Amino acid sequence: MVVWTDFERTAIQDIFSKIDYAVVGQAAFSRCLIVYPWTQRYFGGFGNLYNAAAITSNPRVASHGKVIMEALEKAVKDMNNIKATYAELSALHSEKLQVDPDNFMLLGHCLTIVVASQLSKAFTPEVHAAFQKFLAVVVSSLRKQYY
Amino acid sequence: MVKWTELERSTVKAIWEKIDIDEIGSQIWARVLIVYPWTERYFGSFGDLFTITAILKNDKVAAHGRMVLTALDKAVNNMDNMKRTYADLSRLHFQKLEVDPDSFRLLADCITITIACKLKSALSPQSQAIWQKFISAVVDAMSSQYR
Repeated sequence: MVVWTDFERTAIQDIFSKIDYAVVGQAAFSRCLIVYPWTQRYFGGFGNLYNAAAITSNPRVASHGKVIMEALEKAVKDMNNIKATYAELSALHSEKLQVDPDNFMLLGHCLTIVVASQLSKAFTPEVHAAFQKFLAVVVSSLRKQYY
Repeated sequence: MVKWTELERSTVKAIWEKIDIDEIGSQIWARVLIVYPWTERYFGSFGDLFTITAILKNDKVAAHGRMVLTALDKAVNNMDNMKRTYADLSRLHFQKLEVDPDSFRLLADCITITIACKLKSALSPQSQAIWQKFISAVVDAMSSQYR
């Protein structure tokens, strides 16, 4: 089981209490589709993703970004049980959606960039390390049900 | 050879102009050592790296960060010749310093995140994509002499 220090718990909960899920979710997810364009392959039903402007103004991208943040919140609320929390989501991404699990960290990286630009100086190296650890645990849990 | 559009060239230069090598250089290296602590193995002679506070106050860490950014300036000004620009540095990191080339990618990520903290929303998704293309080319050039 992952061991969290008090600092790490507080840092993660603090970040999630400060960010607007709709804004950050849309920003991080659209960034992922723009910076790593092959990820668009999973979203054929989302309509116009032909250029950055279309992606940034796409309402389905925005709402899916919010869905992702709400799912991350589940992990924040139960940091001792992230693997169990994501067992079903992991199976879904593996069996039904057939998402290459390497993509999880790409989204994680874009989320880090958005959080960093929002928190600016408050995103100290220590807070960054805690956030990185949190994302690593999330990604590892999402990978668990792949074979 | 990597192909650069006019937009990519001007975006990289515009981002670079906003970076104060002294200010940002001292931060990036601390970030790498704190977020990816195994990288400390390369800096046995840097003195006290035992705590986050020590790393943040360490003059050698700050100076090394500034040195890395000064070297990055060469890439900004030689975007068409990065492999040649970094051939000697690459050989040094391979033969003499024995640095795992995966570390270059970790440093690249920390540079991008530090820039996001500084530039905030000015690092738009398109700018991030262009910057990441640039820094990946730098990482490739630094890895080029590894056999």
